[in-house]
Amino acid sequence: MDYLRYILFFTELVAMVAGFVYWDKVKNTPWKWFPVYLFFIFLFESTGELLIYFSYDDIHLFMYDYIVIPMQFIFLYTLFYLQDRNENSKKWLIFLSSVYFASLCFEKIFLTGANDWFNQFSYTIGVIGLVMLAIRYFDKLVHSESLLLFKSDMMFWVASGILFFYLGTLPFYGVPDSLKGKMPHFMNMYWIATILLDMTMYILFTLGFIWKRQK
Amino acid sequence: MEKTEIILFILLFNLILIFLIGSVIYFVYQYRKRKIIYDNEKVETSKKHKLELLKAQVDGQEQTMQFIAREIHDNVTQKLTLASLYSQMMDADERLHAFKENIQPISHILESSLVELRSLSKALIDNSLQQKTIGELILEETRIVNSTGMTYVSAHIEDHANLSVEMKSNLFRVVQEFIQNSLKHAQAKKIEINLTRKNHQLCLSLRDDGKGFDMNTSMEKGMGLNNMKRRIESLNGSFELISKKDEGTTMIILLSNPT
Repeated sequence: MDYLRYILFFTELVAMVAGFVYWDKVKNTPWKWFPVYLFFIFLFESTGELLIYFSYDDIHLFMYDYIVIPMQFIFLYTLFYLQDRNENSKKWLIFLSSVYFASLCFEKIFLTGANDWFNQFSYTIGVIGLVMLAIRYFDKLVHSESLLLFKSDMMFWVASGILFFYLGTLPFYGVPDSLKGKMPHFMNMYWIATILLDMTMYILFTLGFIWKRQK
Repeated sequence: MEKTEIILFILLFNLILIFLIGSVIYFVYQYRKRKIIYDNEKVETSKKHKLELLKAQVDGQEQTMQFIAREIHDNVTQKLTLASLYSQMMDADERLHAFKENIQPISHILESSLVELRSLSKALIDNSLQQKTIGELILEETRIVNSTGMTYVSAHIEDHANLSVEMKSNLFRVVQEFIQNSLKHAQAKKIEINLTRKNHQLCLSLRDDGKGFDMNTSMEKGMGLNNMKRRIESLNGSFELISKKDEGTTMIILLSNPT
């Protein structure tokens, strides 16, 4: 199954490279931070692989729990805010970020070592926030004239990627390990599906960069 | 407990799957719906554009014909009349008696040319536009519309001054367009037309009691409105259109120093 992970790495790399290749399209927009974000994601993923290879599992876990996942959520929340930069979006950004950080603190203080449905508490809260923002974006899109030009709207591809990956993999990442052991075959298939959804997300990001219309 | 957990997991998994598939179907449905509306609007706009273009062409032709007719009447005919007079004088001159046989056919040719040119000039120009005042034209139109029984048009004409054919033609077409819109779109029961003059300013006001329209949305779309606007602008006039849903439509046209 390792080759699937390699392909995933490759799609991450392609998305990042596409971001810099089409830099001219994004340099004067809030999207200029997106290739930078993809660069950091690729860097952290590579570091994570190396840490696992050298058996530094604790550092790997710490890095993901306290840096990578919070950074992903906060960056993506901010990305949604930057699309329209109005008061309402600002409220959403502040509200969802606060709830996410509160859930992270709660998880780290009160739910340590609990091997139950709450072992991914903050992640689940973060994903729910992202899904809410993506639905809010799609609701606005389908009720506006921009719907006809969705192909050239970068946010459409990013929101689609986010919705498919984060929502599609939520049951897998949210489920406790004990339960995974009860359905090994299904969980193995689901694990492959999560990798495929991850790849889909980065392919959609790449398409977004390619089809984005230059302002 | 484990069984409940598994059931919960499967339920969550299925719910998310249904939501994702449902979202895609909903998105495609909304996209297609909007695309159909957009395509229809495009066809409609293109149709309107073509019609407007055709109308502009007809207008252009009409104006060219009027210009040619005026030139024939005011210029060529006058010169030929002069030439005909000279030839008749020469025919009557005793000193030129020897050339009488040659002069008489010239005189006949000039006379018949004048008759032909006058009839051509008349054919090129709408005779009623040439001879009647704008007031008379409006009153005549009022009679025609009232005879259909579809609506009642009342016209109050204070000014009977004769305007240029171009001005009469454009103003009359605006009146016709307004009546047509009041009947076709507004289903008006009553139309009022007032033509007055105050301080060298001609004022034509048109009012109907129809269902009116939302000026924010219909102004851009109506080809009729655009035509009226274009005609008034071509006369260096100004116009004001007031309409509200279910409160009828009023149009006021002002022309300064019309001739």
